[in-house]
Amino acid sequence: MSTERPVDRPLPLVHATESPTMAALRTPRRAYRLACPNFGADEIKALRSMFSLLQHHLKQPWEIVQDAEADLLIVNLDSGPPGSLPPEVPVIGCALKPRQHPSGTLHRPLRAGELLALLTEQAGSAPVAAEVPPPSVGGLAERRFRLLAWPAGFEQWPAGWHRVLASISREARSPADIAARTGVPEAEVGRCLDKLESDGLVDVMVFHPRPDAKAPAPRQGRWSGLAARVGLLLGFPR
Amino acid sequence: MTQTHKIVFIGEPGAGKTTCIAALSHVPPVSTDVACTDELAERKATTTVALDYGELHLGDQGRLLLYGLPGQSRFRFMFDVVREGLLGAVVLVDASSATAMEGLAETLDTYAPELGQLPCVLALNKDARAGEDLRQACLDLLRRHGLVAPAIVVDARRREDIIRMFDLLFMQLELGFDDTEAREANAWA
Repeated sequence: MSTERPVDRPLPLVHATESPTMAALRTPRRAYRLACPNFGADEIKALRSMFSLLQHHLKQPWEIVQDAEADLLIVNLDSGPPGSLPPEVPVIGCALKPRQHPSGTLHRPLRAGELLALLTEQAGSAPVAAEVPPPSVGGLAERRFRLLAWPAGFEQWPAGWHRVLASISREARSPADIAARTGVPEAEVGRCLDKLESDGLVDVMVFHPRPDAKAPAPRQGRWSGLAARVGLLLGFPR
Repeated sequence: MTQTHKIVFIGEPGAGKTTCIAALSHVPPVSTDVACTDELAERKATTTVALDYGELHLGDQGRLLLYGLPGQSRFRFMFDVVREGLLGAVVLVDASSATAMEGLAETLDTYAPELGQLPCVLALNKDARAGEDLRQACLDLLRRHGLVAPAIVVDARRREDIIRMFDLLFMQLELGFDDTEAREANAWA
């Protein structure tokens, strides 16, 4: 029986049931193994360098492997289908434009913060991998966006996008938080963030929300009343 | 007690601070203009040597005090006069000036730490055809100073343009600068 698993883009984030390798990891501690089957040599080199820096921040050791059986796969979604992948090994996609792919897709080139979050989460969840929520509920980590600069031509952008820009001009916020603050639908927020990310105008940070963290609710800020009053006086709507 | 809030207009001489305040103020604006005696006299008859002042009356929301501050570093001490209750800043640039970028650079060198704590709008005044190159250069300079603000082309004599500045300023204040509740509501690992 073939063990090949066809992979079509976009590649979903897969939380497989516990692999024999993961089970073996429970008792005798050895390094977790990460494989990146369709990465270029330069990317692997950069990843190894990043790994050496991250090891101090990881509770479990990780190593990059090429031929050995891996505990986790990261696949470059920009280079086409990666070919055959070992079955029952969790697969994470990475891409230059991760927002165009399913939730949980990492940014490419890989960023230390995202990688640290992924490895920590993956190692911590391995024994109970089956209990991890499916990708449709949310990725491994939440991405937050902070504006680095307003676009020069923002006035040609939809009015709702101006509110998105204003909401991330000081603090990094998640798409859900931005939507709750601005009243702009989350899908529209996503489109705006995609544009900003492709133009290099946002900084993206990865956070792990606590399980008990509440979803952001629509809210009126402290300055809403004053803004409404000034808007009424001068003639801009609020 | 009546609430008072403040907005400050900052810019090089001739950038349009006095014009903005005069266009908005509900009281006769207080100005400290004097006749120019240096090379600035070639561009304008008078210039502000201290600060401009005007007011917007907001009914039960109090008053919005409008201040105009020179952008030059030697006037830096004046910022302390207006610091308390300051809600936002408009940085004005004389886009028609050959030294527009130098003026902006001095303003940002002088005030960047303060501007970084406030909603801010950069307004390119006096040249409706101010090109994308100038706007992009201003945005790049803002970024080099770690400042995040929209840059728009305005005619400070037009009330609707000043309203655009205020719309952007209060949009940032309302949506981006009130984070206390959010910090309390979201507990992060």
